[in-house]
Amino acid sequence: MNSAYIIRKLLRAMLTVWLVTTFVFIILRLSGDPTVSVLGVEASPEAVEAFHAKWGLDDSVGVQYANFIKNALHGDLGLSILEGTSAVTSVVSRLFNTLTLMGISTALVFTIGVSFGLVASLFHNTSKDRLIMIFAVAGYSSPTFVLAILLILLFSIQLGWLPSTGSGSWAHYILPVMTMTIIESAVFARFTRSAMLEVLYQPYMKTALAKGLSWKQAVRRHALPNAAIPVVTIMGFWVGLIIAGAVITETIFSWPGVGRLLIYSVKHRDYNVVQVIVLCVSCTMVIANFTVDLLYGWLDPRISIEKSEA
Amino acid sequence: MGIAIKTKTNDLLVVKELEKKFLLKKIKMPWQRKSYIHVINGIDLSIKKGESLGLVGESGCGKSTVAKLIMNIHAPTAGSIVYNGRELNSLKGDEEKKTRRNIQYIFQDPMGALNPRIPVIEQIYEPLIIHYGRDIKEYYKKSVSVLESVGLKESHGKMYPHQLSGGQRQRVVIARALILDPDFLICDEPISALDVSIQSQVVNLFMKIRDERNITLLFISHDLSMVRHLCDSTAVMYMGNIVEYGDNELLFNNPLHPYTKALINAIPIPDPRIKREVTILEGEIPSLQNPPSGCRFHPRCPVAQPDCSIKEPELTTLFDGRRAACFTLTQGRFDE
Amino acid sequence: MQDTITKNKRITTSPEGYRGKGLLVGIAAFWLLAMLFIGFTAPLIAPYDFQEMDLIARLLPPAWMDGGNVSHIFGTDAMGRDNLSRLFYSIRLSLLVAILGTLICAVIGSTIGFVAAHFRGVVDETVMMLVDFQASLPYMILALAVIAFFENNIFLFIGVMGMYGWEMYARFARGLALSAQEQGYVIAAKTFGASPIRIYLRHILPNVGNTLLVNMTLNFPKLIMLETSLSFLGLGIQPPNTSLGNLVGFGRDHILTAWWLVIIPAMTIFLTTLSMSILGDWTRDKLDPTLK
Repeated sequence: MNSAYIIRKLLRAMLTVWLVTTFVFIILRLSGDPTVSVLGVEASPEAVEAFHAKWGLDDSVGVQYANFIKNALHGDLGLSILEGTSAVTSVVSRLFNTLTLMGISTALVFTIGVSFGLVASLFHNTSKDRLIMIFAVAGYSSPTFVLAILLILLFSIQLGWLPSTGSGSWAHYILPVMTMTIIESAVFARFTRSAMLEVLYQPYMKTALAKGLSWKQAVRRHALPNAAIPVVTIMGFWVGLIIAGAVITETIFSWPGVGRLLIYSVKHRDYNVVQVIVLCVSCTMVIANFTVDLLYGWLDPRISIEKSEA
Repeated sequence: MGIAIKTKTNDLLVVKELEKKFLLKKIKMPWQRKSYIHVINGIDLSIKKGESLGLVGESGCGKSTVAKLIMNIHAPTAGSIVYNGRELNSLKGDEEKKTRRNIQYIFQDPMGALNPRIPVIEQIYEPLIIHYGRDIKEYYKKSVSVLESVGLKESHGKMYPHQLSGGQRQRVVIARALILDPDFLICDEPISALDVSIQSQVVNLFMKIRDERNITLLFISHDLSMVRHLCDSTAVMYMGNIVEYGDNELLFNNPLHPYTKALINAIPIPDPRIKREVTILEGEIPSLQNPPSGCRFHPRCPVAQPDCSIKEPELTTLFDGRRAACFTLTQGRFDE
Repeated sequence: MQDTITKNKRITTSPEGYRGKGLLVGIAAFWLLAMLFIGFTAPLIAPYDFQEMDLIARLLPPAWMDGGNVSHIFGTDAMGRDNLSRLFYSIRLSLLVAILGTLICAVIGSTIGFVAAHFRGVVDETVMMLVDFQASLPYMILALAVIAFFENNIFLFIGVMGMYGWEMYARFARGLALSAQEQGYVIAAKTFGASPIRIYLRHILPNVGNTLLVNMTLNFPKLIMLETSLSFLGLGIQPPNTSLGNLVGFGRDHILTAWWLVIIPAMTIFLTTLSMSILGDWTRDKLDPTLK
């Protein structure tokens, strides 16, 4: 890979982050006034005015944007209108919860999902394959909240084994993690299976066997590396979602994480917090994509050769 | 109004100093240098009404591109294409439409040239719809008669392309080209994709069409024996240049340019008793990105002179009326 | 395991391969048709108006349970509204939003793709940049930002739904249009003077149609999921309108005492998206196996 490739991708990444942030900024400003949410409907006109003045809501969007950029470059991303502390603090304080939830789920999803997908592909069209695929289709067709509610109904209410809301003990992790894992493993299983199938039926696999390689060797040396490429891509995508992927899960289970904060802030128009969260999400996505692009260039020699000739 | 160029009144198509270059790589950064390949390097052609000109050469010599330039599939980088006294690329609107109606194009790959989802008869009269509005009944009748003139039946018309054989598909493509009653037909390797047994049938079909309708023909091929059979004169191309150009009688019986000689002497003759001197060309066609200096043929030429690597020879008229681009011919040295 | 490639097990058109599958696909199709039928005829077949309240008969369980009542087969909700009727109307609205959204998305996305393929150059680069931008961002975030902050307006909501996944269509349409432009018959049409519109409509679109259709069947369940999720969170369809997501959301408040308020709409959603996914896979296998 040469530097032109890397620079282009880097520029593209920064541009994306900037675009997203600006886009959300404009939408937020143009659409509503947090005053009512915070002060209540019966707030007096003076209180409203004071509020506007305090938060600079009287300025035009352009002026507000300029101020935002100026402050942002100094590291000041504003205060949470609802909590009074800095928006960044609001987000960071909940980051741990989200990261642990998503971290555990991701580890499980990668292992369970990918292995089932592998098994299904290697036993293509047998009953093993069909069984796995039936579960997979059921898994990814289910909206998150439906699965979550069903799990709550079963494990919390009916059986009383597990708590359904809040956090605090390891037991609280179980249901949210289960929800995310079931659905995403299904997605990964299916994807891995199709990636492997694409590769397994290529002529070079038959050639490998004809050359005398054992089945295991052929799969390990020829199939897996080639199938890895698309799988790594969606893995990267998923890691990029590490902050935003659990929005609904967190809300349902009242999990005190960034996702739930996002919904709450959106409902009550806490601009700065939403801004910070969106900034974080786009940064993580962009970093993840960038890493995947680099990995790609290393894994797939066709890409690096092509790019270096540019 | 197009520019009127002085031509003999029975010239249908005159091409002068035609050039075409393609951009080699996509420019990603504005400061990168553009590099081109010159696919056509300044060629002149002229075809009289009713004449058939063959354009031959090996793959990559640029002959298909010439056709595409005439058909306006690509725009020329330089030079002029004059049809019936008018510069083709300067025509606009209705005039352009009317003029281009008279020039039709036959593709190399008959399967690709037909839409797999539409019955062939509809594809045959589609040009009529485009130019003359909708009168499907009339068009249908006309299409059937054209189908029959190319040797197919009405029942073939109702089929889809994949239901026909290669030869039949090519006949459909020909029928489609004929439906507008063109004066000029460009055939771009129309028989290369066909089985050998079908090839001669299609060539005979071309001859029949030409004789019946008095169409002017530009026949592009790498098959020299077909060109000899079908055309009146031939132009031989090599790496974007015309190296020899003249009447078939002269050219095929007595090729003069070293390249032409090698090509023609390589045509298999079914009589093993006739011995010929076969010149085997060395090497391969150089890449167009780095063409040889001077005469582009000189690295492979059996009679190359020192001068040949310095200057490019011009296409000059020789004593018998044909034209050739070779220093060995124009400097008074004739072999055989 | 080695049998996978040595015995060419990929051939799924083997009879036993399809018989089992066929049944599943049949059931899925049947369910969807039933849903469509309900959606169409909801005003006619619902026993009550979906807003009609009966404060005496609140939180009644379904007819087959204790305390249930045949006049309300699926019971009532916290305001005494008949659950069955509300279910029918919700199906209607959720399906409507999903279908409209899918169509809008397909049309807009494909048009953008075609435009990019036709004009090339700067237009193409810009479109591709937007596509990449959209693809690298979870739609939920953008949707949240747009919906929740504007006045809750059903047209806006459908519009936002309609943009979910446009980048996929744009990419496909552009790719297919670009390769179609290389096809002989498209070039041929150009040589005898066909206008670009004629070429797109008559020659390119029909050959692109298959992929587009498959895309639509794959997109549809995602749309249902998005809409129901947002409605569940209170950010989607607003009362007095009702969607399947709303039902689950409202039911959640009573999950301990009146679990049927949650289960029935939740299962309906699940079965619908499941059926659509199965049908989508089957369509894809039939029409365009090159898509993943």
